[in-house]
Amino acid sequence: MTALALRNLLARRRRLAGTFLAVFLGVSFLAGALVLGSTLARNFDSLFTDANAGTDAAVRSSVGKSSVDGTDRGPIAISLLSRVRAVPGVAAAEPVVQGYGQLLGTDGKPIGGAGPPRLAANWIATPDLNAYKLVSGRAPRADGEAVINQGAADDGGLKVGSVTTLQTPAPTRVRIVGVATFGSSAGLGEATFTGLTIAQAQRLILHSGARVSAIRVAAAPGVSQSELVRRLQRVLPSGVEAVTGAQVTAEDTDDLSGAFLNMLRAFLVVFAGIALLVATFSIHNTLSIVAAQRTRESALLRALGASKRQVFRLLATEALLVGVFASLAGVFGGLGMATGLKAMFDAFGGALPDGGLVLTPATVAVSLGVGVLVTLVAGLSPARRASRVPPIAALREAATEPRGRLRIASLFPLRGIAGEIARDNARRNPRRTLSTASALAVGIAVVTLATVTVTSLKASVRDSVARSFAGDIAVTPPGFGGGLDPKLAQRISTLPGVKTAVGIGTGSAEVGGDDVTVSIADFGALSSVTEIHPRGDLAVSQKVAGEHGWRVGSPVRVRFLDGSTRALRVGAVYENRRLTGDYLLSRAAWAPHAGQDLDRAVYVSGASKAQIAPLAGDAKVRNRAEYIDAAAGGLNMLLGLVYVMLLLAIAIALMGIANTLALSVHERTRELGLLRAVGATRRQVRAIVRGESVIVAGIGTAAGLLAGFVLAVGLVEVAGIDAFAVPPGSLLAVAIVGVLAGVLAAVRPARRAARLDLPRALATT
Amino acid sequence: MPVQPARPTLAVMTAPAASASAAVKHYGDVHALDGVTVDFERGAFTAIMGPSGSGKSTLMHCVAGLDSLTAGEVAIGGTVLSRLSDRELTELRRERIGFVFQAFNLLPALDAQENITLPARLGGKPSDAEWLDLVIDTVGLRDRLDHRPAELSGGQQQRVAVARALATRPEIVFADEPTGNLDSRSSAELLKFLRRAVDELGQTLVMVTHDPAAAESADRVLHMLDGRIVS
Repeated sequence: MTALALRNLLARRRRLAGTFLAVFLGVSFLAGALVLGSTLARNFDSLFTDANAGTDAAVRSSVGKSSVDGTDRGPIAISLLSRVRAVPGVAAAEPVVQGYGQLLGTDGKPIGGAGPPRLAANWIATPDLNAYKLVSGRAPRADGEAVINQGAADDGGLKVGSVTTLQTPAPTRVRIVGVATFGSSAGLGEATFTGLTIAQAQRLILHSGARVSAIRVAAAPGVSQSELVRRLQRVLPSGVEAVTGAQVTAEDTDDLSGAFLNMLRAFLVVFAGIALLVATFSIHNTLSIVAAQRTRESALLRALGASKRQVFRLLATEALLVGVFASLAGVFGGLGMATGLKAMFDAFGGALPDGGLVLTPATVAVSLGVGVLVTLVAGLSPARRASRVPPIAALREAATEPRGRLRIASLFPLRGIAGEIARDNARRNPRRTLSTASALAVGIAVVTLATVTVTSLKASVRDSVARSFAGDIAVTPPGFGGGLDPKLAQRISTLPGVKTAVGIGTGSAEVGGDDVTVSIADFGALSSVTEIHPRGDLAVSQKVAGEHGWRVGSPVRVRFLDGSTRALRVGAVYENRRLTGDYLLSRAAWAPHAGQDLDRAVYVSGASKAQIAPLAGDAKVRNRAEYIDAAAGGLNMLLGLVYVMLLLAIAIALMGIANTLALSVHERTRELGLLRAVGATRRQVRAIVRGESVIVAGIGTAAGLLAGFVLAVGLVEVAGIDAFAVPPGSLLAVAIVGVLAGVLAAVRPARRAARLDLPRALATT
Repeated sequence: MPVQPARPTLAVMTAPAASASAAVKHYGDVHALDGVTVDFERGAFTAIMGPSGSGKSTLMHCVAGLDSLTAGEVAIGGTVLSRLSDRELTELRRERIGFVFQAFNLLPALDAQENITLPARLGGKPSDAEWLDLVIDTVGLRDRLDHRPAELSGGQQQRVAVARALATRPEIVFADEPTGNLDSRSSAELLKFLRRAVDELGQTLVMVTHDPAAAESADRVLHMLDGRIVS
């Protein structure tokens, strides 16, 4: 039977091409997602391993949490350095000062800022402990001298000798004296790096010559990392810890994996799932049609003595073989897909580190397994149906087609005789029409779901910003994250006419036992530009207050990054978390413990954009309406990515429709020949095929829109998004794309139908 | 060259309804037509007989504009087919020729009435209601018009096909083994209708058949063998 199955496959190459393609694309996408995921994980891992290669241990504050840029951890006293150097087994120890630093290019525009960190740090003299290697120029020796990484230099048009501005976030003039690479690459991904003298780094970032961010330690030969850490721990005071270099690497990688890689991978796998779901419908459909067209063949086999089981096995084996071959091809397709996806993410600004593709055995196993399984599942019911054909069917004329009762097809306003025949054709086999349409419906439903949900989310964000922001102007830093000079708010407040200008700062602290991100603001001023009216030194959101059982007046222990602890009372509980997050600390309470101070926004009342713009530099100055619009702007990028990926799902569905049409055209060769004989023009024949395709696509699109809409209503409800918004323009665009998919899918089958060789078509039985 | 109007002009009226001269058709090495010259007269019922592979169907396909010749010429009412584009050929088939095939004559999704008026509607022209009534009565289908092919017997299906072939008042009707799939009673009945079409409606009819009984209904019988007309 296997030999017969193989023979059949070869004989029916053309008809099974659609099935093959559907499996191939679905598996390609899955494999692509997995390959991209493991490639990125490997690249980030090797990046951090390189970066920390010479570091055997790190001495750091035990307050705060780990992050790649190290800004969520408290500083330590520089006096520890001599104590560390005196520990036996320490070959070298260097202080590290690291924080936020935005470099400007020669054009005065910020370099980077699309997401990856922008780092300012001290240039470490001991090469083993410095992840960066000078490729030109020299190390900084005096205030105002800086080494920058190759990537930043290239992006900003900077070279040795250039003079530019570093914002930490207060602007400082720096002269580039050296350019460095990160290991052998131009940078840590797309992160920018500026290396200063330690004195200047301490002053700009930590505002104190007595503190550093951490101390990096290299072990003497023969001393293991864990032994080194044990020895170090003996001399360290409480609140300061020593960890191995391996742990630092693991934490850095985890930080990125947790925040970014896992999300990316989940995102890709979800889309691969959608692609495979759509593919399953297409495969099922194709195999059903092929099985139906083979009714007489199956019956002949039964008449000749094949058992039901043998006929079933024959068709199932064919499906299995298609699944195996297409999945194998799909794994290779996945490598190409991963390359393409990586380029796409780069184009959307989320630049990812370079490196060859990683194809793990797990990726191959999962892709093959899923591809074969999907094909088999989709092929089982057609195979079972074929096996139930009675032997007598071999002797009968081809079964008369059931009279169609698919009323919905009558709704399509296709004109002329061609439109009428197209409608009739779509009505004839409701099962086929609907299952072809369902593949497209799945794709359209997901697009609709995503569009409505994201639009609702945008509306919700806009609503809450509109409700909570009471000022006239908002100033925000360029790019994602980053910060404004805290002095900006003071300078704006001195402008004539300005009633209030309040900076919203961001920091890390341990509040009520949790490491959290806090917002910092002058409570009095905040009241006049937002509808949040905090009192005392601490205000928390209703959500957090509920979780901890806090009320106004409850005492809460707050531990700052510098290690000191204060007991504060909850002065207010607020509802709207959009502008300030869950925790709000007064500037007065924060200031004594502040490290590098960054404002993420300045809210102003009583001023115009034109007045503020000259003070703001490259920061964004927006009026109330613009700020409300921009608050939800980040979601547009998400929506863009969703659209690009879903086009693929629609493309698979489109191929499904094209394939069904091609099979229908094949099946109706005689009928089309007759039409041509009695006077249908080629154009009319094309219109008939196209019409049927548009009806199928129209049904799929309408069903998809409806299903997506219903799902969106549910999702918005479940996700607790407090607005429901329907974007009529986007949904109209989706509908048009859906119907256009129908027109597009029909192009090839219609052309084939119109080019029938008449005598041969009429001779077909 | 412009397509001839459906109502033939005087000049065309004098030409035979259809003709072939030195018609040759090769399929690779197979000589399906090996120099056939023949005229089909107006108002006559001509039968073409011959064994399988004699070239009778090929001759019909070529004369009717369904297939093209390797060499020689065929004409319908003076219009030489080899000079027509596909579009013009389509129009000619729609307006000046009627077809009845052995099987699968009808679109399964359309009912009898819709099948009968299909060529006219493909051409975007209204059917002549009076003529249509006459044709439908001639083939005796009045009470079956809203049935689909699957709900009709084989004989009824072939009668619908005959009605369709006559509906556009073509200059000539080609029937390719029209009784091939019918039992003898339905077969005789169908031939009676074809005969009436010629006698009462003045239709020109060319029928390919290998059934001597069918050929007996014809005015003239041509015999073919190996791509040639032998008598």
